[in-house]
Amino acid sequence: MQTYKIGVCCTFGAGSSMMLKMNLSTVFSRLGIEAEIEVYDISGISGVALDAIYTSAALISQVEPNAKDAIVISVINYFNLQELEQLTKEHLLKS
Amino acid sequence: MLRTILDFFITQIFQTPAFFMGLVVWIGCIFLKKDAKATLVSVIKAIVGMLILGIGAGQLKIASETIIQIFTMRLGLTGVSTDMWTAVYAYIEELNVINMGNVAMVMIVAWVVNLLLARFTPIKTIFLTGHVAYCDSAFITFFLYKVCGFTGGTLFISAVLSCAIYWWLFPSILRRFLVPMLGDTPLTLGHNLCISGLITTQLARLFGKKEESAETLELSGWLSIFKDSVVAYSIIMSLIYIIIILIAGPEIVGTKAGGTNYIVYGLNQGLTMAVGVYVLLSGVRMFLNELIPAFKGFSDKLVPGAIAAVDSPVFWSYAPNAALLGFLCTVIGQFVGVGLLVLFGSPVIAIPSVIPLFFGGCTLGVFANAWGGWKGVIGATFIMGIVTICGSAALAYVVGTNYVPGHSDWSTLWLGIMIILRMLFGTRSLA
Repeated sequence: MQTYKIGVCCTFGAGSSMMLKMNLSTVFSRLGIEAEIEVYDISGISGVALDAIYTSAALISQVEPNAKDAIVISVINYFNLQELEQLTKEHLLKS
Repeated sequence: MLRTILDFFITQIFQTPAFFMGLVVWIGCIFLKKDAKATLVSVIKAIVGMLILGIGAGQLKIASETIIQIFTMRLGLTGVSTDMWTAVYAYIEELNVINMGNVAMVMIVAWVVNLLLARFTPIKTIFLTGHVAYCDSAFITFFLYKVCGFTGGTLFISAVLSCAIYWWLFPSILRRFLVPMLGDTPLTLGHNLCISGLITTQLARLFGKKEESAETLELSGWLSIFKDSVVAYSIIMSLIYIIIILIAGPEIVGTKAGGTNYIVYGLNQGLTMAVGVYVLLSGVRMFLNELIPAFKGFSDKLVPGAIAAVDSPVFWSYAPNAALLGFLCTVIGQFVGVGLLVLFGSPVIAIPSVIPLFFGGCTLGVFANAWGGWKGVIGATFIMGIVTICGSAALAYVVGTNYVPGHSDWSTLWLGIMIILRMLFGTRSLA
């Protein structure tokens, strides 16, 4: 089975992305996805080879140009596990 | 023999922030049932992360210090930095003198108290913003030392209780005012914007209607470049420093800059702030990555159904436009605030800084939008900008320091508390 490389991105890469990372790992284990999740800030994510980047809908315009080949997934509510599950199924698993 | 071992342990491990953090993370790994290999990796990263943080913060302090000195030399006024990380470093340096520099210990114990309060009372808030918790511990310990003259055990216990109550009670008060935005999501803000966030929502209501949301406006794409912290620090700090350098003139700046052109020197100092913050954050990220999951796992077990108090950018996605509009009006408000301080002949002038401007402004903008739409955002964040900068100057005066945290809770709630404490413990002369 494939192990995904996932980036989680916020402005500082210290506070909110950490929350998103923990919620994502819950969702991934629920869906049976193997993944390595790392947190980044906007400058730090450029040039990193990743399968997908989850970020806030507010930051999407900054993240997308830096994303290389990764799929960029825009999240509204970091704590809505259903939303995270839905987005994962739609974007990550279909690619 | 036992005594010597114990002494060694206390002075060399417990009072060294990096090793202490390593120890805490090690306990966390035992709790998370990690294997030996993963534990070793985690403990090393926690220790190295803390050491990196120190290097980044040191850079910030050096860059701010010279600008403050230049400011003071030219104008005869006391310049005050409002950058939170610079303040953390400056405070820890002073706390080291009384052997209280390991504020990570205050943070960990206060967190445990927060958990216990949430476990045994009806208010279920758990503070999960690790870097803010670390900063708060330094700020509150320092303020209680400077204002009340506490040291040793008294200082430790009073700082722990103050932090724990601040993290547990105030985010839950704010949460009622976020309902229009969040509904019943078990979330609230865990940042130094709780009481000021509440004030902002109520101000916003006076200025406009929430139906006229800022999200209907078209904002310039230029504003969004500030979302990148490296860019924000570089632009804002360089601009502010160059303004100060121009006011000071080449002779005074020359005493610091040597052969370097004075404007280039200002630019350099501003960019050094960006460097410092970037280094610092990579350290913070490294140790929080090890610490937060353990803490979250622990709190999930101990306090089921807890309300998570989390970092500010979580809320920006609810209203990205309002966030940028709030940032812009906070910038204007803070500079007007500086103007007012000068106009009224204040002996202390607070110098605006990125974190209160951007992180404060964006967050308050989103809150204001939920209560008063775009008119509310403009009115409320402008006023809060003035309040924040004037309150920062007042806080510096009351506490007696050149460095203040800068966020708006420190200029409102904590300013009030410090004034009261000063009156109660006011033995130190105001100098």
